[in-house]
Amino acid sequence: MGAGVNALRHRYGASPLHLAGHVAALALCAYAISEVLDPGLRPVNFLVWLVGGALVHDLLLLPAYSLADSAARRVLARRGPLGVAALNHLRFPAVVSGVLLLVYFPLILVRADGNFVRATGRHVEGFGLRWAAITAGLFALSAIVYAIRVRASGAAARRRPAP
Amino acid sequence: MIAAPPGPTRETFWRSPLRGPWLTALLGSLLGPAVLIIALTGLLSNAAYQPDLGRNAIVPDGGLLPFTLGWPTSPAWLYALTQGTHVVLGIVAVPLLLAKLWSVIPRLFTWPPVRDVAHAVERASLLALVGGALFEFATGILNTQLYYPWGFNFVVAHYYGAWVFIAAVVVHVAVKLPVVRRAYRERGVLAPLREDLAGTRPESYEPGGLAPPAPDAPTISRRGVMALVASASAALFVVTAGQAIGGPLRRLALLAPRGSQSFGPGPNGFPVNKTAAVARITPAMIGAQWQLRLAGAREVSLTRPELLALAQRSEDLPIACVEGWSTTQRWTGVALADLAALAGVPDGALLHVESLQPRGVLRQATLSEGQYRDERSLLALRVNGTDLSVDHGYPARIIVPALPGVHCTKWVAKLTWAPA
Repeated sequence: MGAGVNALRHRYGASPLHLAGHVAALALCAYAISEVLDPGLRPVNFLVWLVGGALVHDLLLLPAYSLADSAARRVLARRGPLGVAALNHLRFPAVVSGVLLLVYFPLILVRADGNFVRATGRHVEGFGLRWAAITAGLFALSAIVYAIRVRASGAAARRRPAP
Repeated sequence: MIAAPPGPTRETFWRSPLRGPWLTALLGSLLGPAVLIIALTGLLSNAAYQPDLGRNAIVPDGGLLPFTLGWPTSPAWLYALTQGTHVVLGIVAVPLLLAKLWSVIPRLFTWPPVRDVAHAVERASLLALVGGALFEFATGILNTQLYYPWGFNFVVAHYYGAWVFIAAVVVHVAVKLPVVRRAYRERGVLAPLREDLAGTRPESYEPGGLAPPAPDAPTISRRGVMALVASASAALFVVTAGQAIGGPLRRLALLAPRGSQSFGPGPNGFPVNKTAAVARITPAMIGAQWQLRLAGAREVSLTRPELLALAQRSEDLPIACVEGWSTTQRWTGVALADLAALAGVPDGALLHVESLQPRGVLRQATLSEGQYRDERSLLALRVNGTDLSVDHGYPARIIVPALPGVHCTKWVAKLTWAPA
């Protein structure tokens, strides 16, 4: 029995429990997917969406924001601690504003006004303006805090006795 | 073994000094409970629709759970709570999900792509995990904004997509729990959060691990990253949660679809889901000749003035939508229990409600005995002291405590009591 388990471990690469757990999970996944495909509800479209989110995130969204961050880092981080602080004072409002846009882009960019009117009786109005105002407010707040920190560190440097 | 080609498959490509088992363990420790609550409240939402009664089931055969819970009528805000939590927590967890994915992205490019069968099997389950997670979050969040850029039935796909996600998460947690325990044992659970930027050290490199072999100097500490995630989540909470929680918070719900701007003036000014126009309700259908038909042991027809002449009850009840918003209003009408007595109801009968709406799977609903016998369940004729507006279901709508909003049928045509 032990020899059998060891042979399985050698061939498979992990414990029998690993195999059993994964087979069960993947079987449940396959069954669930088949239930969506079965009634013929645009099966290709469903599979594209199921896998596509992972592809769009991993190969488009993540590289895009990573590159933007790298570029900002290259410009700012070489300017010492104040540059690094500036980088983070850009990152915070950019990330918060970016995530708000990512979650609410259909309303902000007015992607489904027809559906919205039919459902609610009202038009998609003002979301873009409110998001822009929030974004401006976040950047302004961050700039103010940064300015305060720069002034405070400048004052601290002047208070230190000369070497 | 072939050497990794230049690019992300080489470990030296990844430079962030913050990546490592500890950061991923912490992010996973937060995302895990959030996903658990989201999944549970989602399954409760499915139960709240009582798919085993009548033609309530939108997912054919009621889906993967063979048993049924039955859905209570108390507390009246039960569905508002479970579904508000489902949607608000789902939205608030997005920064956590993105951070987790960022922390493990080097794994997408492991080299060699497949070491052995176990590795291949694990990678397949990870495709189900990441694909399933993003599918569930994306479809759910787009649905709340009434944006449908896909071709499949949202309800069916979101339900079964949840099972793909749940299956993949369970096996993922089982596999990674020892890794998480080891990371916490080696570095402490919260200790790395005490490091400031100057004290931020990369985690120790291990071949095949997440920590990079040649990290850049840090520009933000680990607690800075967690503060970034928390800020984004807090911002999402502030602009969203008010549509579910109400009160003063609703004025801050600036980006939620049914938030600060979705209330109009007057007693009928609260949000509408499904206008009379899209339901194809014509003035002729709801005019003076409208009669409510009751069918039980007897058949009874009542005009609106006759309904208004019956004993009226007023109840403050929330109407809670599957899209994660709710609002409490004062409804006035005839108790469903009184209408049941008028029609004569066999024991154990269910109530089938039909709308004037000519077409659509949600033009009807089936209610349990507990729901129509609850003294607060009404055939509402008026709201906030005035007649229902046409968009809110004039001449009459159902309102039942803790029942999902869409099952509070509008423009009621007929009530039928019949055994299951």
